[in-house]
Amino acid sequence: MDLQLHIPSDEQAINPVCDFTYSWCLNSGLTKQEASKFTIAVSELITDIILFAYPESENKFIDLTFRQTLSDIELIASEAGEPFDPDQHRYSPESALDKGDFEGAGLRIIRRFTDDFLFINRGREGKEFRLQKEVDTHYLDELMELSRSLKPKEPEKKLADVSYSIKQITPADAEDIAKLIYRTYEYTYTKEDLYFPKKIEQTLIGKEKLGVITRGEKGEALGYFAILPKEDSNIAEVGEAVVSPDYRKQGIMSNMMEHLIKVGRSHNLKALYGKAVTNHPVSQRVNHKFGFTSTGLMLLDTNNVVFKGFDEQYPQPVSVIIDVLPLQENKPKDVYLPAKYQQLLTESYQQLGIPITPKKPNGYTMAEKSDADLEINYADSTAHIILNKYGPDFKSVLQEMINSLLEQETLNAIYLDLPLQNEATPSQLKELEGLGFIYCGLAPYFHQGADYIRLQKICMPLDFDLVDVHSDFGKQIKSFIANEYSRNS
Amino acid sequence: MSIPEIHREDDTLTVCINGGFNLWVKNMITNHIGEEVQNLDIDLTNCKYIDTEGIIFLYEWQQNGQKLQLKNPPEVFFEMLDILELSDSWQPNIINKNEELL
Repeated sequence: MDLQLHIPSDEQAINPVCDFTYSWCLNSGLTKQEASKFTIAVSELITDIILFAYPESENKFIDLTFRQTLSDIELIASEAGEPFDPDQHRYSPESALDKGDFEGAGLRIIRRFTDDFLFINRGREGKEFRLQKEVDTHYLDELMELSRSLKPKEPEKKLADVSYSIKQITPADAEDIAKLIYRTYEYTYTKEDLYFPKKIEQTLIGKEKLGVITRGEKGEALGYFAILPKEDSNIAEVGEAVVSPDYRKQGIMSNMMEHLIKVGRSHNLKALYGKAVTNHPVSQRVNHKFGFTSTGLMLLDTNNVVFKGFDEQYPQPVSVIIDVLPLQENKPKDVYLPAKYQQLLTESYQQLGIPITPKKPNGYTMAEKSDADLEINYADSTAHIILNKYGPDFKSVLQEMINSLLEQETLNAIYLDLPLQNEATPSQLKELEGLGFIYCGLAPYFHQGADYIRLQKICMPLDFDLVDVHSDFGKQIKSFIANEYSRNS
Repeated sequence: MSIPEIHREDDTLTVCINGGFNLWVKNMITNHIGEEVQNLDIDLTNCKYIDTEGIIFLYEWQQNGQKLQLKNPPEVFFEMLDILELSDSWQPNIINKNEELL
Protein backbone atom coordinates (compact mmCIF):
# COMPACT_ATOMS: atom_id res chain seq x y z
CA MET A 1 0.00 0.00 0.00
CA ASP A 2 1.21 3.51 -0.81
CA LEU A 3 0.82 6.57 1.43
CA GLN A 4 1.67 9.98 0.02
CA LEU A 5 2.72 13.28 1.54
CA HIS A 6 3.13 16.55 -0.32
CA ILE A 7 5.32 18.72 1.92
CA PRO A 8 6.80 22.19 1.55
CA SER A 9 10.55 22.40 1.15
CA ASP A 10 10.82 23.94 4.59
CA GLU A 11 12.72 22.84 7.68
CA GLN A 12 9.52 23.02 9.72
CA ALA A 13 8.30 19.97 7.83
CA ILE A 14 11.17 17.77 9.03
CA ASN A 15 9.85 16.95 12.50
CA PRO A 16 6.30 15.99 11.49
CA VAL A 17 7.60 13.91 8.59
CA CYS A 18 10.06 12.15 10.90
CA ASP A 19 7.36 11.46 13.48
CA PHE A 20 5.15 10.01 10.76
CA THR A 21 8.02 7.98 9.28
CA TYR A 22 8.93 6.48 12.66
CA SER A 23 5.38 5.45 13.36
CA TRP A 24 4.97 4.07 9.82
CA CYS A 25 8.18 2.03 10.19
CA LEU A 26 6.94 0.46 13.42
CA ASN A 27 3.62 -0.36 11.80
CA SER A 28 5.48 -1.96 8.89
CA GLY A 29 7.25 -4.38 11.21
CA LEU A 30 10.60 -2.69 11.88
CA THR A 31 12.02 -2.82 15.39
CA LYS A 32 12.30 0.47 17.30
CA GLN A 33 16.02 0.57 16.60
CA GLU A 34 15.57 -0.02 12.87
CA ALA A 35 12.69 2.48 12.76
CA SER A 36 14.96 5.13 14.30
CA LYS A 37 17.67 4.47 11.74
CA PHE A 38 15.33 4.58 8.77
CA THR A 39 13.79 7.80 10.14
CA ILE A 40 17.25 9.34 10.47
CA ALA A 41 17.94 8.40 6.83
CA VAL A 42 14.69 10.13 5.81
CA SER A 43 15.59 13.17 7.91
CA GLU A 44 18.99 13.37 6.18
CA LEU A 45 17.40 13.11 2.75
CA ILE A 46 14.77 15.78 3.32
CA THR A 47 17.36 18.10 4.87
CA ASP A 48 19.63 17.70 1.85
CA ILE A 49 16.76 18.46 -0.51
CA ILE A 50 15.77 21.55 1.48
CA LEU A 51 19.33 22.84 1.69
CA PHE A 52 20.71 21.90 -1.71
CA ALA A 53 17.87 21.26 -4.18
CA TYR A 54 15.98 24.41 -3.22
CA PRO A 55 18.62 26.66 -1.62
CA GLU A 56 16.95 29.98 -2.41
CA SER A 57 13.45 29.10 -3.43
CA GLU A 58 10.21 29.51 -1.58
CA ASN A 59 6.95 27.72 -2.26
CA LYS A 60 8.64 24.58 -3.52
CA PHE A 61 7.47 21.13 -2.61
CA ILE A 62 8.69 17.59 -2.07
CA ASP A 63 6.50 14.57 -2.80
CA LEU A 64 7.00 11.61 -0.52
CA THR A 65 5.62 8.15 -1.22
CA PHE A 66 5.74 5.60 1.57
CA ARG A 67 5.49 2.13 0.02
CA GLN A 68 5.13 -0.94 2.14
CA THR A 69 5.02 -4.69 1.69
CA LEU A 70 5.62 -7.18 4.42
CA SER A 71 9.10 -7.94 3.15
CA ASP A 72 10.31 -4.38 2.66
CA ILE A 73 9.55 -0.69 2.95
CA GLU A 74 10.46 2.04 0.50
CA LEU A 75 10.45 5.82 0.74
CA ILE A 76 10.39 7.67 -2.58
CA ALA A 77 11.18 11.39 -2.48
CA SER A 78 10.53 13.32 -5.71
CA GLU A 79 11.54 16.91 -6.31
CA ALA A 80 12.37 19.22 -9.16
CA GLY A 81 15.14 21.31 -7.65
CA GLU A 82 18.71 21.94 -8.73
CA PRO A 83 20.59 19.08 -10.41
CA PHE A 84 22.45 16.87 -8.01
CA ASP A 85 24.69 13.81 -8.13
CA PRO A 86 25.18 11.96 -4.83
CA ASP A 87 28.40 10.38 -6.11
CA GLN A 88 29.99 13.83 -6.24
CA HIS A 89 29.44 14.35 -2.52
CA ARG A 90 31.45 11.66 -0.77
CA TYR A 91 32.15 12.13 2.92
CA SER A 92 35.77 12.50 3.97
CA PRO A 93 36.52 12.04 7.71
CA GLU A 94 39.87 13.79 7.21
CA SER A 95 38.19 16.89 5.78
CA ALA A 96 35.66 16.80 8.59
CA LEU A 97 38.32 16.67 11.31
CA ASP A 98 40.90 18.96 9.70
CA LYS A 99 38.72 21.55 8.01
CA GLY A 100 35.30 21.10 9.57
CA ASP A 101 33.98 20.13 6.14
CA PHE A 102 31.19 17.60 6.67
CA GLU A 103 30.00 17.43 3.07
CA GLY A 104 28.46 14.04 2.30
CA ALA A 105 28.04 13.08 5.98
CA GLY A 106 24.27 12.76 5.60
CA LEU A 107 24.60 10.62 2.48
CA ARG A 108 27.00 8.29 4.29
CA ILE A 109 24.45 7.88 7.09
CA ILE A 110 21.67 7.22 4.55
CA ARG A 111 23.72 4.49 2.90
CA ARG A 112 24.50 2.82 6.24
CA PHE A 113 20.98 3.04 7.65
CA THR A 114 19.15 1.64 4.61
CA ASP A 115 19.54 -1.51 2.52
CA ASP A 116 19.35 0.37 -0.75
CA PHE A 117 19.73 4.03 -1.66
CA LEU A 118 18.87 4.89 -5.24
CA PHE A 119 19.08 8.15 -7.09
CA ILE A 120 17.02 8.33 -10.27
CA ASN A 121 17.53 11.27 -12.58
CA ARG A 122 14.29 11.88 -14.47
CA GLY A 123 15.47 14.74 -16.64
CA ARG A 124 12.99 17.60 -16.72
CA GLU A 125 10.65 15.60 -14.54
CA GLY A 126 13.10 16.17 -11.71
CA LYS A 127 14.86 13.75 -9.43
CA GLU A 128 13.82 10.84 -7.35
CA PHE A 129 15.50 9.33 -4.31
CA ARG A 130 14.55 5.90 -3.07
CA LEU A 131 15.39 4.52 0.35
CA GLN A 132 14.63 0.85 0.86
CA LYS A 133 14.80 -1.34 3.92
CA GLU A 134 14.03 -5.02 4.21
CA VAL A 135 11.76 -6.04 7.02
CA ASP A 136 13.14 -8.95 8.98
CA THR A 137 9.95 -10.93 9.15
CA HIS A 138 11.23 -13.26 11.81
CA TYR A 139 11.26 -10.45 14.36
CA LEU A 140 7.62 -9.67 13.86
CA ASP A 141 5.05 -10.16 16.51
CA GLU A 142 3.31 -12.54 14.17
CA LEU A 143 6.16 -15.00 14.67
CA MET A 144 4.05 -17.05 17.01
CA GLU A 145 1.38 -17.38 14.41
CA LEU A 146 4.00 -18.38 11.87
CA SER A 147 5.30 -21.10 14.16
CA ARG A 148 1.83 -22.55 14.26
CA SER A 149 2.06 -23.11 10.54
CA LEU A 150 5.43 -24.87 10.78
CA LYS A 151 4.14 -28.36 11.30
CA PRO A 152 0.79 -28.55 9.63
CA LYS A 153 -1.17 -31.75 9.84
CA GLU A 154 -2.04 -33.10 6.43
CA PRO A 155 -5.57 -34.45 6.17
CA GLU A 156 -5.49 -38.24 6.40
CA LYS A 157 -7.71 -39.16 3.46
CA LYS A 158 -6.94 -38.62 -0.20
CA LEU A 159 -9.27 -36.38 -2.16
CA ALA A 160 -10.80 -39.33 -3.96
CA ASP A 161 -12.26 -40.40 -0.63
CA VAL A 162 -13.58 -37.07 0.51
CA SER A 163 -16.06 -34.60 -0.80
CA TYR A 164 -15.06 -30.97 -0.87
CA SER A 165 -16.60 -27.58 -1.27
CA ILE A 166 -15.33 -24.27 -2.61
CA LYS A 167 -16.30 -21.00 -0.97
CA GLN A 168 -15.35 -17.38 -1.26
CA ILE A 169 -12.65 -16.55 1.30
CA THR A 170 -13.34 -14.54 4.43
CA PRO A 171 -10.93 -13.10 7.03
CA ALA A 172 -11.52 -16.20 9.16
CA ASP A 173 -9.72 -18.31 6.51
CA ALA A 174 -6.43 -16.42 6.94
CA GLU A 175 -4.58 -18.95 9.09
CA ASP A 176 -5.49 -21.90 6.86
CA ILE A 177 -4.24 -19.99 3.82
CA ALA A 178 -0.86 -19.40 5.51
CA LYS A 179 -0.60 -23.12 6.26
CA LEU A 180 -1.39 -24.05 2.68
CA ILE A 181 1.30 -21.71 1.39
CA TYR A 182 3.82 -23.31 3.71
CA ARG A 183 2.90 -26.83 2.63
CA THR A 184 3.37 -25.86 -1.00
CA TYR A 185 6.36 -23.58 -0.94
CA GLU A 186 7.95 -23.97 2.52
CA TYR A 187 9.67 -20.57 2.93
CA THR A 188 10.49 -19.85 -0.69
CA TYR A 189 7.35 -18.05 -1.82
CA THR A 190 8.26 -14.51 -2.79
CA LYS A 191 5.05 -12.93 -1.46
CA GLU A 192 6.00 -13.19 2.18
CA ASP A 193 2.71 -11.65 3.28
CA LEU A 194 1.18 -15.03 2.73
CA TYR A 195 3.02 -16.58 5.66
CA PHE A 196 1.29 -14.24 8.07
CA PRO A 197 -2.34 -14.83 8.93
CA LYS A 198 -2.78 -11.30 10.26
CA LYS A 199 -1.51 -9.76 7.03
CA ILE A 200 -3.81 -11.98 4.98
CA GLU A 201 -6.68 -11.02 7.25
CA GLN A 202 -5.93 -7.32 6.75
CA THR A 203 -5.92 -7.64 2.95
CA LEU A 204 -9.22 -9.50 3.04
CA ILE A 205 -10.84 -6.96 5.35
CA GLY A 206 -9.55 -4.17 3.10
CA LYS A 207 -10.81 -6.03 0.00
CA GLU A 208 -7.32 -5.89 -1.50
CA LYS A 209 -7.91 -9.43 -2.62
CA LEU A 210 -10.80 -11.73 -3.36
CA GLY A 211 -10.59 -15.45 -3.70
CA VAL A 212 -11.79 -18.92 -2.94
CA ILE A 213 -10.81 -21.67 -0.55
CA THR A 214 -11.44 -25.38 -0.94
CA ARG A 215 -12.28 -27.38 2.18
CA GLY A 216 -12.68 -31.11 2.74
CA GLU A 217 -15.63 -32.72 4.44
CA LYS A 218 -14.20 -32.06 7.92
CA GLY A 219 -13.49 -28.46 7.06
CA GLU A 220 -9.76 -28.95 6.43
CA ALA A 221 -8.26 -26.53 3.89
CA LEU A 222 -7.13 -28.19 0.64
CA GLY A 223 -6.66 -25.30 -1.76
CA TYR A 224 -6.68 -21.54 -2.17
CA PHE A 225 -6.78 -19.28 -5.21
CA ALA A 226 -7.02 -15.47 -5.23
CA ILE A 227 -7.78 -12.60 -7.54
CA LEU A 228 -5.87 -9.44 -6.80
CA PRO A 229 -7.56 -6.30 -8.17
CA LYS A 230 -5.08 -4.03 -9.93
CA GLU A 231 -4.86 -0.61 -8.29
CA ASP A 232 -4.74 1.44 -11.51
CA SER A 233 -7.26 -0.44 -13.65
CA ASN A 234 -10.47 -2.44 -13.51
CA ILE A 235 -8.79 -5.79 -14.01
CA ALA A 236 -7.38 -8.33 -11.58
CA GLU A 237 -4.58 -10.85 -11.44
CA VAL A 238 -5.30 -14.47 -10.65
CA GLY A 239 -2.57 -15.77 -8.42
CA GLU A 240 -1.43 -17.19 -5.13
CA ALA A 241 -2.74 -20.57 -6.29
CA VAL A 242 -2.05 -23.44 -3.94
CA VAL A 243 -3.32 -26.96 -3.57
CA SER A 244 -2.09 -29.10 -0.70
CA PRO A 245 0.53 -31.49 -2.22
CA ASP A 246 -1.39 -34.73 -1.53
CA TYR A 247 -4.45 -33.37 -3.28
CA ARG A 248 -2.95 -32.36 -6.59
CA LYS A 249 -4.11 -33.75 -9.95
CA GLN A 250 -7.64 -34.05 -8.58
CA GLY A 251 -9.16 -31.06 -10.37
CA ILE A 252 -9.22 -28.74 -7.36
CA MET A 253 -7.26 -26.01 -9.16
CA SER A 254 -9.63 -26.10 -12.13
CA ASN A 255 -12.70 -25.95 -9.93
CA MET A 256 -11.32 -23.00 -8.03
CA MET A 257 -10.53 -21.19 -11.30
CA GLU A 258 -14.12 -21.69 -12.41
CA HIS A 259 -15.29 -20.03 -9.20
CA LEU A 260 -12.80 -17.19 -9.57
CA ILE A 261 -14.06 -16.35 -13.03
CA LYS A 262 -17.58 -16.12 -11.62
CA VAL A 263 -16.31 -13.85 -8.84
CA GLY A 264 -14.56 -11.67 -11.43
CA ARG A 265 -17.71 -11.33 -13.52
CA SER A 266 -19.81 -10.54 -10.47
CA HIS A 267 -17.43 -7.68 -9.68
CA ASN A 268 -17.74 -6.33 -13.26
CA LEU A 269 -14.03 -6.69 -13.96
CA LYS A 270 -12.98 -6.03 -17.58
CA ALA A 271 -10.55 -8.95 -17.54
CA LEU A 272 -8.56 -11.38 -15.47
CA TYR A 273 -4.91 -12.00 -16.11
CA GLY A 274 -2.36 -14.42 -14.79
CA LYS A 275 1.41 -14.47 -14.70
CA ALA A 276 2.06 -18.17 -15.18
CA VAL A 277 5.55 -19.43 -14.42
CA THR A 278 7.46 -21.18 -17.20
CA ASN A 279 9.63 -23.55 -15.17
CA HIS A 280 6.67 -25.93 -15.37
CA PRO A 281 3.51 -25.75 -17.49
CA VAL A 282 0.83 -26.57 -14.88
CA SER A 283 -0.47 -23.04 -14.27
CA GLN A 284 -0.42 -22.28 -17.99
CA ARG A 285 -2.48 -25.40 -18.71
CA VAL A 286 -5.07 -24.43 -16.11
CA ASN A 287 -5.27 -20.89 -17.54
CA HIS A 288 -5.79 -22.14 -21.09
CA LYS A 289 -8.34 -24.68 -20.07
CA PHE A 290 -10.46 -21.74 -18.96
CA GLY A 291 -10.05 -19.66 -22.07
CA PHE A 292 -7.10 -17.47 -21.13
CA THR A 293 -4.95 -16.30 -24.04
CA SER A 294 -1.19 -15.84 -23.83
CA THR A 295 -0.34 -12.28 -24.78
CA GLY A 296 3.21 -11.84 -23.57
CA LEU A 297 6.33 -13.40 -22.14
CA MET A 298 8.09 -11.50 -19.34
CA LEU A 299 11.61 -12.83 -19.26
CA LEU A 300 13.37 -13.28 -15.89
CA ASP A 301 10.42 -11.78 -14.03
CA THR A 302 10.74 -13.53 -10.71
CA ASN A 303 13.56 -15.04 -8.69
CA ASN A 304 13.45 -18.77 -8.39
CA VAL A 305 10.60 -20.22 -6.41
CA VAL A 306 10.89 -23.78 -5.09
CA PHE A 307 7.69 -25.75 -5.46
CA LYS A 308 7.39 -28.90 -3.43
CA GLY A 309 6.76 -31.73 -5.84
CA PHE A 310 8.00 -29.83 -8.89
CA ASP A 311 11.48 -29.23 -10.26
CA GLU A 312 13.44 -27.87 -7.36
CA GLN A 313 16.52 -26.71 -9.24
CA TYR A 314 16.14 -23.99 -11.82
CA PRO A 315 19.28 -22.10 -12.80
CA GLN A 316 17.86 -18.70 -13.77
CA PRO A 317 15.11 -16.34 -12.64
CA VAL A 318 11.73 -17.62 -13.78
CA SER A 319 10.10 -16.04 -16.83
CA VAL A 320 6.32 -15.74 -16.82
CA ILE A 321 3.66 -15.90 -19.49
CA ILE A 322 0.98 -13.21 -19.35
CA ASP A 323 -2.37 -14.95 -19.82
CA VAL A 324 -5.47 -12.79 -20.25
CA LEU A 325 -9.19 -13.58 -20.09
CA PRO A 326 -11.55 -10.74 -21.11
CA LEU A 327 -14.75 -10.86 -19.08
CA GLN A 328 -16.88 -8.35 -20.96
CA GLU A 329 -17.98 -7.71 -24.51
CA ASN A 330 -15.92 -4.99 -26.14
CA LYS A 331 -16.68 -2.32 -28.70
CA PRO A 332 -13.96 -1.77 -31.34
CA LYS A 333 -11.31 0.63 -30.12
CA ASP A 334 -8.78 2.74 -32.00
CA VAL A 335 -5.18 1.67 -31.51
CA TYR A 336 -1.88 2.87 -32.95
CA LEU A 337 0.26 -0.19 -33.52
CA PRO A 338 4.02 0.16 -34.08
CA ALA A 339 4.85 -1.33 -37.51
CA LYS A 340 7.55 -3.55 -36.07
CA TYR A 341 5.10 -5.42 -33.85
CA GLN A 342 1.86 -4.84 -35.74
CA GLN A 343 1.34 -8.43 -36.86
CA LEU A 344 1.88 -9.99 -33.44
CA LEU A 345 -0.22 -7.37 -31.65
CA THR A 346 -3.05 -7.75 -34.16
CA GLU A 347 -3.02 -11.50 -33.73
CA SER A 348 -2.99 -11.10 -29.94
CA TYR A 349 -6.13 -8.96 -30.14
CA GLN A 350 -7.74 -11.54 -32.42
CA GLN A 351 -6.91 -14.38 -30.06
CA LEU A 352 -8.41 -12.38 -27.20
CA GLY A 353 -11.54 -11.55 -29.17
CA ILE A 354 -11.03 -7.83 -28.56
CA PRO A 355 -12.06 -5.88 -31.67
CA ILE A 356 -9.73 -3.08 -32.73
CA THR A 357 -9.49 -0.45 -35.42
CA PRO A 358 -5.81 0.09 -36.23
CA LYS A 359 -5.22 3.76 -37.00
CA LYS A 360 -2.41 5.68 -38.60
CA PRO A 361 -1.13 8.60 -36.50
CA ASN A 362 -2.40 11.86 -37.84
CA GLY A 363 -0.16 14.28 -35.98
CA TYR A 364 -0.11 14.57 -32.23
CA THR A 365 0.70 17.08 -29.54
CA MET A 366 3.20 16.15 -26.91
CA ALA A 367 3.01 17.11 -23.26
CA GLU A 368 5.42 19.76 -22.06
CA LYS A 369 7.46 17.05 -20.41
CA SER A 370 7.33 13.29 -20.15
CA ASP A 371 5.58 11.61 -17.26
CA ALA A 372 6.44 8.06 -16.28
CA ASP A 373 5.96 5.92 -13.18
CA LEU A 374 8.73 3.67 -11.94
CA GLU A 375 8.20 0.59 -9.82
CA ILE A 376 11.15 -1.38 -8.48
CA ASN A 377 10.70 -4.93 -7.28
CA TYR A 378 13.71 -5.39 -5.00
CA ALA A 379 12.90 -9.04 -4.19
CA ASP A 380 12.76 -10.03 -7.86
CA SER A 381 15.44 -7.58 -9.04
CA THR A 382 13.26 -6.04 -11.73
CA ALA A 383 12.07 -2.54 -12.57
CA HIS A 384 8.93 -1.50 -14.40
CA ILE A 385 8.42 1.84 -16.14
CA ILE A 386 4.92 2.89 -17.15
CA LEU A 387 4.68 5.79 -19.57
CA ASN A 388 1.80 8.15 -18.87
CA LYS A 389 2.66 11.05 -21.19
CA TYR A 390 5.18 11.62 -23.96
CA GLY A 391 7.19 14.82 -23.90
CA PRO A 392 9.97 15.93 -26.23
CA ASP A 393 12.42 14.63 -23.63
CA PHE A 394 11.02 11.07 -23.67
CA LYS A 395 14.13 9.27 -24.86
CA SER A 396 16.54 11.24 -22.69
CA VAL A 397 14.36 10.80 -19.58
CA LEU A 398 14.13 7.09 -20.23
CA GLN A 399 17.85 6.83 -20.87
CA GLU A 400 18.59 8.70 -17.63
CA MET A 401 16.28 6.47 -15.64
CA ILE A 402 17.82 3.30 -17.08
CA ASN A 403 21.35 4.55 -16.51
CA SER A 404 20.51 5.48 -12.91
CA LEU A 405 18.99 2.06 -12.31
CA LEU A 406 21.78 0.04 -13.89
CA GLU A 407 24.55 2.02 -12.22
CA GLN A 408 23.12 1.37 -8.78
CA GLU A 409 21.18 -1.88 -8.95
CA THR A 410 21.86 -5.39 -10.24
CA LEU A 411 18.68 -5.96 -12.19
CA ASN A 412 17.53 -9.01 -14.11
CA ALA A 413 15.15 -7.12 -16.37
CA ILE A 414 13.49 -3.74 -16.98
CA TYR A 415 9.96 -3.67 -18.40
CA LEU A 416 8.47 -0.69 -20.20
CA ASP A 417 4.75 -0.14 -20.91
CA LEU A 418 3.75 2.24 -23.73
CA PRO A 419 0.11 3.19 -24.42
CA LEU A 420 -1.30 1.78 -27.66
CA GLN A 421 -4.17 4.25 -27.71
CA ASN A 422 -1.70 7.14 -27.88
CA GLU A 423 -0.90 8.37 -31.39
CA ALA A 424 2.70 9.08 -30.46
CA THR A 425 3.61 5.50 -29.60
CA PRO A 426 4.59 4.21 -33.09
CA SER A 427 7.07 7.02 -33.68
CA GLN A 428 8.30 7.21 -30.08
CA LEU A 429 8.98 3.49 -30.04
CA LYS A 430 11.32 3.98 -32.98
CA GLU A 431 13.21 6.50 -30.83
CA LEU A 432 14.08 3.70 -28.44
CA GLU A 433 16.47 2.05 -30.90
CA GLY A 434 19.75 1.43 -29.18
CA LEU A 435 18.34 1.24 -25.66
CA GLY A 436 18.13 -2.55 -25.83
CA PHE A 437 14.39 -3.03 -25.50
CA ILE A 438 12.71 -5.99 -27.21
CA TYR A 439 9.11 -7.14 -27.44
CA CYS A 440 7.39 -8.56 -24.39
CA GLY A 441 3.71 -8.56 -25.26
CA LEU A 442 0.29 -6.98 -25.21
CA ALA A 443 -1.03 -5.74 -21.87
CA PRO A 444 -4.74 -5.05 -22.48
CA TYR A 445 -6.59 -2.78 -20.02
CA PHE A 446 -3.47 -2.75 -17.82
CA HIS A 447 -3.38 0.92 -16.81
CA GLN A 448 -6.39 3.22 -16.43
CA GLY A 449 -8.42 0.82 -18.58
CA ALA A 450 -6.16 1.38 -21.62
CA ASP A 451 -4.08 -1.08 -23.64
CA TYR A 452 -0.29 -1.05 -23.54
CA ILE A 453 2.52 -2.68 -25.44
CA ARG A 454 5.04 -4.08 -22.98
CA LEU A 455 8.72 -4.07 -23.91
CA GLN A 456 11.60 -5.55 -21.97
CA LYS A 457 15.31 -5.04 -21.55
CA ILE A 458 17.17 -8.14 -20.40
CA CYS A 459 20.11 -7.43 -18.13
CA MET A 460 21.62 -10.88 -17.55
CA PRO A 461 22.36 -14.00 -19.62
CA LEU A 462 19.30 -16.07 -20.40
CA ASP A 463 18.74 -19.63 -21.68
CA PHE A 464 15.53 -19.67 -23.75
CA ASP A 465 15.49 -23.48 -23.78
CA LEU A 466 14.58 -23.40 -20.09
CA VAL A 467 11.47 -21.33 -20.75
CA ASP A 468 8.63 -23.85 -21.00
CA VAL A 469 5.65 -22.38 -22.84
CA HIS A 470 2.47 -24.40 -23.19
CA SER A 471 0.15 -22.84 -25.78
CA ASP A 472 0.78 -22.61 -29.52
CA PHE A 473 0.35 -18.84 -29.55
CA GLY A 474 2.58 -18.55 -26.49
CA LYS A 475 5.23 -20.50 -28.38
CA GLN A 476 4.86 -18.09 -31.29
CA ILE A 477 5.43 -15.14 -28.94
CA LYS A 478 8.42 -16.86 -27.38
CA SER A 479 9.94 -17.56 -30.79
CA PHE A 480 9.45 -13.94 -31.89
CA ILE A 481 11.08 -12.65 -28.70
CA ALA A 482 13.94 -15.14 -28.90
CA ASN A 483 14.71 -14.02 -32.46
CA GLU A 484 14.66 -10.35 -31.52
CA TYR A 485 16.79 -11.04 -28.44
CA SER A 486 19.28 -12.94 -30.57
CA ARG A 487 19.45 -10.13 -33.15
CA ASN A 488 19.90 -7.52 -30.42
CA SER A 489 22.66 -9.36 -28.66
CA MET B 1 4.73 17.04 20.70
CA SER B 2 8.18 17.13 19.12
CA ILE B 3 8.99 20.73 20.00
CA PRO B 4 12.17 21.04 22.08
CA GLU B 5 11.99 22.75 25.48
CA ILE B 6 14.60 25.48 25.72
CA HIS B 7 15.52 27.50 28.85
CA ARG B 8 18.40 29.88 29.50
CA GLU B 9 19.83 30.64 32.89
CA ASP B 10 22.89 32.90 33.06
CA ASP B 11 25.43 31.46 30.63
CA THR B 12 23.78 28.04 30.35
CA LEU B 13 21.21 27.00 27.81
CA THR B 14 19.27 23.89 28.76
CA VAL B 15 17.51 22.01 25.98
CA CYS B 16 15.23 19.02 26.27
CA ILE B 17 14.81 17.26 22.91
CA ASN B 18 11.53 15.50 22.21
CA GLY B 19 11.52 13.20 19.17
CA GLY B 20 13.99 14.47 16.60
CA PHE B 21 17.18 16.52 16.64
CA ASN B 22 17.52 17.90 13.13
CA LEU B 23 18.00 21.08 11.08
CA TRP B 24 14.84 22.70 12.43
CA VAL B 25 15.71 21.94 16.06
CA LYS B 26 19.31 23.02 15.53
CA ASN B 27 18.14 26.37 14.16
CA MET B 28 15.74 26.80 17.10
CA ILE B 29 18.59 26.26 19.54
CA THR B 30 20.88 28.58 17.58
CA ASN B 31 18.23 31.31 17.79
CA HIS B 32 18.40 31.10 21.61
CA ILE B 33 22.16 31.33 21.76
CA GLY B 34 23.51 34.81 22.33
CA GLU B 35 27.06 35.83 23.14
CA GLU B 36 26.47 35.18 26.83
CA VAL B 37 25.75 31.44 26.41
CA GLN B 38 28.84 29.36 27.05
CA ASN B 39 27.34 26.10 28.31
CA LEU B 40 24.94 23.84 26.54
CA ASP B 41 23.13 21.11 28.48
CA ILE B 42 21.12 18.89 26.20
CA ASP B 43 18.77 16.22 27.48
CA LEU B 44 18.40 13.53 24.83
CA THR B 45 16.41 11.11 26.98
CA ASN B 46 13.38 11.41 24.69
CA CYS B 47 15.34 11.84 21.47
CA LYS B 48 14.46 9.04 19.08
CA TYR B 49 16.30 10.27 16.01
CA ILE B 50 19.23 12.59 15.72
CA ASP B 51 20.64 13.32 12.28
CA THR B 52 23.99 14.75 11.15
CA GLU B 53 22.71 18.33 11.44
CA GLY B 54 22.35 17.70 15.18
CA ILE B 55 25.61 15.82 15.56
CA ILE B 56 27.70 18.32 13.59
CA PHE B 57 26.16 21.18 15.58
CA LEU B 58 27.15 19.53 18.88
CA TYR B 59 30.61 18.64 17.59
CA GLU B 60 31.33 22.15 16.37
CA TRP B 61 30.03 23.71 19.60
CA GLN B 62 32.53 21.75 21.65
CA GLN B 63 35.34 22.19 19.12
CA ASN B 64 34.87 25.95 19.52
CA GLY B 65 35.89 25.62 23.16
CA GLN B 66 32.44 25.89 24.68
CA LYS B 67 31.04 23.46 27.23
CA LEU B 68 28.66 20.73 26.26
CA GLN B 69 26.85 18.18 28.36
CA LEU B 70 24.64 15.49 26.89
CA LYS B 71 22.16 13.50 28.94
CA ASN B 72 21.16 10.00 27.87
CA PRO B 73 22.01 10.11 24.18
CA PRO B 74 20.33 7.30 22.24
CA GLU B 75 22.40 4.31 21.17
CA VAL B 76 22.21 5.41 17.55
CA PHE B 77 24.13 8.59 18.46
CA PHE B 78 27.28 6.56 19.19
CA GLU B 79 26.78 4.43 16.11
CA MET B 80 26.67 7.57 14.00
CA LEU B 81 29.88 8.86 15.56
CA ASP B 82 31.51 5.57 14.52
CA ILE B 83 30.12 5.80 10.99
CA LEU B 84 31.37 9.36 10.66
CA GLU B 85 34.72 8.31 12.20
CA LEU B 86 34.46 10.94 14.93
CA SER B 87 34.59 8.58 17.92
CA ASP B 88 38.35 8.71 18.38
CA SER B 89 38.66 12.46 18.24
CA TRP B 90 35.54 13.57 20.10
CA GLN B 91 34.49 12.49 23.56
CA PRO B 92 31.52 14.61 24.62
CA ASN B 93 30.62 14.85 28.31
CA ILE B 94 27.81 12.43 28.83
CA ILE B 95 25.51 11.82 31.76
CA ASN B 96 23.93 8.41 31.61
CA LYS B 97 20.63 7.28 33.04
CA ASN B 98 22.10 7.01 36.54
CA GLU B 99 23.09 10.65 36.38
CA GLU B 100 26.73 9.68 36.64
CA LEU B 101 29.25 11.71 34.75
CA LEU B 102 31.19 9.41 32.47
